[in-house]
Amino acid sequence: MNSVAAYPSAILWAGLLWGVCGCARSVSPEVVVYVAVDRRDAEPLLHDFERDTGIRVRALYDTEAAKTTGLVSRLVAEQTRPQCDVFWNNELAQTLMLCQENLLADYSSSEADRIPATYRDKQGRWTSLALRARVLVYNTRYVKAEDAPQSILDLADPRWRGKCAIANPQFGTTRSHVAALYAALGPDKTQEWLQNLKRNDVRIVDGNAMVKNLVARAHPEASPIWVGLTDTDDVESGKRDGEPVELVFPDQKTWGTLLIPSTVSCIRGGPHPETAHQLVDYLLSPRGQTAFLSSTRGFVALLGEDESGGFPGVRGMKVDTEELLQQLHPSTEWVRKHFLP
Amino acid sequence: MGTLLSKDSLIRHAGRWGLVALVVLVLFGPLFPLFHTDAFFVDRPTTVPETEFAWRALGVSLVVAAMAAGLAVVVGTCLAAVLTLDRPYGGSLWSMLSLVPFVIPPTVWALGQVSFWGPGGTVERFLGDSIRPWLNFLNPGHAISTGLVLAQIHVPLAMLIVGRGIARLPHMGWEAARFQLRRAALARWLARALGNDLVAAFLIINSLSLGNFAVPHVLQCRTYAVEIYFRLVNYLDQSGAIQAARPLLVIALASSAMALFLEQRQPSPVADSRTGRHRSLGIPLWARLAGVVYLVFTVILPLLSLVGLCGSWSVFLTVAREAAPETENTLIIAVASATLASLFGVAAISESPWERRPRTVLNLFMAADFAIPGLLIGVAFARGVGTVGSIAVGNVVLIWALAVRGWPFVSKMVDRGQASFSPSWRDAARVSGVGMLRRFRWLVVPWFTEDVAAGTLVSYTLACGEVEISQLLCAPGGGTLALRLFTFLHFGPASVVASLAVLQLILVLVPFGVYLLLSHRPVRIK
Repeated sequence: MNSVAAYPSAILWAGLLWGVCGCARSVSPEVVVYVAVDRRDAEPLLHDFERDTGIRVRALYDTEAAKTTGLVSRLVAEQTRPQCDVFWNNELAQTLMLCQENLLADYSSSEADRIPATYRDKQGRWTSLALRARVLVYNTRYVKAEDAPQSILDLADPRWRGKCAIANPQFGTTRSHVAALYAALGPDKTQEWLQNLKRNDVRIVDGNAMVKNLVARAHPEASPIWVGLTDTDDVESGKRDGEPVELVFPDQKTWGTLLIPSTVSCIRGGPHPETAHQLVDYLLSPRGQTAFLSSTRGFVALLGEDESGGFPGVRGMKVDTEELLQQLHPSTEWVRKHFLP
Repeated sequence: MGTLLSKDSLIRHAGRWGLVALVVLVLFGPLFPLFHTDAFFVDRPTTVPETEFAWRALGVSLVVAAMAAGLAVVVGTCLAAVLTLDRPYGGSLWSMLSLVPFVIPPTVWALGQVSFWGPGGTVERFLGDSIRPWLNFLNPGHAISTGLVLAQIHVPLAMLIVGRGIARLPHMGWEAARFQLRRAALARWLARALGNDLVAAFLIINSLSLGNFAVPHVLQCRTYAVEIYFRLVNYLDQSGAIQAARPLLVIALASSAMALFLEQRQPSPVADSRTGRHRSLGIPLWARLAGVVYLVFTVILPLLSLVGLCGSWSVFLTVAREAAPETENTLIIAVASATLASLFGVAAISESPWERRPRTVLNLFMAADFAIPGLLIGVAFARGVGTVGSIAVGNVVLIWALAVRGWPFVSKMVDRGQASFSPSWRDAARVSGVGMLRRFRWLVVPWFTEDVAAGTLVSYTLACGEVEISQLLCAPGGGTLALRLFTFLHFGPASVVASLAVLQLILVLVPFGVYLLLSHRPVRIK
């Protein structure tokens, strides 16, 4: 029986050779896209692009827990040998960070002319695709509309002690939100609010969808999370599924609601620049935008330069992008040291 | 004859040491970064922040894993006793059901339990949610629920490990002990007879539970594995992740070494399911009923609840159609990695037991690989092979890593067949002038086919639902079904998540059922 070892050994060595040879790259047209937008929203559009152009889309999606940050880290790590062509982000702050790192290529799509100047980079390194907003979510079974919090500062009110949830501010749009507050209100006021939230026993969870889930599945004694801070798309998906949730655009009487543009960018030195341009053009085209907005809830089209973006009657927060970028790291560092348990 | 023997001997030596070298190089080479962080890997710039050591998460993990291992050993031992020493009505069915948690992907299993026991689940729909505050009070940070689900998943492994010891009991004087010893003395006798198996099962399950990421992620329990995972996925901090993984690695290696030591101290199993049949030893009725209730409430009802959550056939079919590319990719990856693991398993095991030196080396590596959690294998591959760059494109690296994960399971199963293989048959065939190829066809294939098939099946099912390694190594556009489920987990509609979970169930349960049909033998836990 010992000599039988020769056969598996030969098969294994042959397999090893085949495996190494099999690493040769595909020559068919393709584009590699890193997608931070929720998979169920982005996937149909990418399939449409594949069908229409014959270009194979190799997409890498992110999990809710590692939203955006994981993909941005990957792009930074790959900067000496980029593997990605297009980065479709679900927020702006980390796109700006990639700009700062000089990782994004200049590409001014002809389709970007329709997008308001506020929502695209002058050098063409990023362009916004659609907007969503940071909103307060509440459970309609336990909170009446008139009693719902109207400002993010209300979450620190003793009335919501132990009944409020937010996503981890180290990641995703909650990170951008804290940085935007740093820029708009100043670090002191933002830190005071976060400290008050912490004293108010705020529940910190992995992602915005988890915030909505906790609120939707609240129980008066077991899990009394009645309100939270999340994004419009999460609340709208809950409403679509028949969950007892409703949203409030916060701070309408003060500094306004933070609007979060979803951005699309080409990666500098990406392996497939031609197909990357085609994909960006497709995503920004009226057809692409219509398809995206029809498959999602909670996103709106970019309609004009006014402060509401595309949300009717909503006052958006004014945030300078340069200031937002400058505040991103300091705010995250402070959160990590002083806010997280 | 002399010429034949020397030629045979030459091939034998070349094959033997070539295999040892191949196994060590291919299966353990990529794990080298786990042991040597800063040798020749240069860290690439990342946005990683400085973080303190996650003592709290490690504490939670240690408690959860110990609880899971303890429970799994207790329940697994009881089930193995009922199914091995007794012959309950429908024994094959119950044996098969008891093995199901091990072949179902952990994510799917955890989702099934949540859909049945969790908030808004089937139990609450029938009994109301008045019990939820109590459950919440008893389950701080979801640690208890995580421990329970991890225990359920590992009960079959405990059954398989302890079941071997239980199968030896009739040959060690179990009947005499049962009738002559008092209860306390009988317990001491049993502890002595099964002690090594119980400790080995506890150590292995404890190690695997410590490194499990999927279950705590689904149940939102902040364990140490989650910390390591986030460190790697959120910040691509490979060096930090490997350093953070050190405590788990030490526990895994210590556990495997201890388990191997215990295994070698005990006699080889003499009761073989193909030849041995024991008479029923009269397990009390209440114990049988308890086993049935356990299986009904942890296996059948939660899985039915998950199926019910799909909503309708049309939803399921739509989700299945959308997930077709990932399903195809999963099948390719799982079949390829299982085949590779089996080839390595067969190759390693074809080293005969009387060639002690290479066998001992392989046993050591096999034991180490058995206890190393998938997350650590993924971290090591991401750190080592991932840095090569272009080789990571495609599924090759993922298949390779999953084969590393599946290999010890295949080897263990094939080892079982080899233990009962008599060398005298080989010698007789050789002396009679039967050639190498015919010996392989006439002796090896008939004897080992079922064990190799079982090992391949286990390796396939592990690869089908694997998340920890896939998440770290999957190239863009090369996702698996488990990863698709993972990306939909917390924000997808419940019906879509349930449909994806059921699709995964089908992928693992259909081959499992086919194997049971084709193997022509009842499932026996030994």
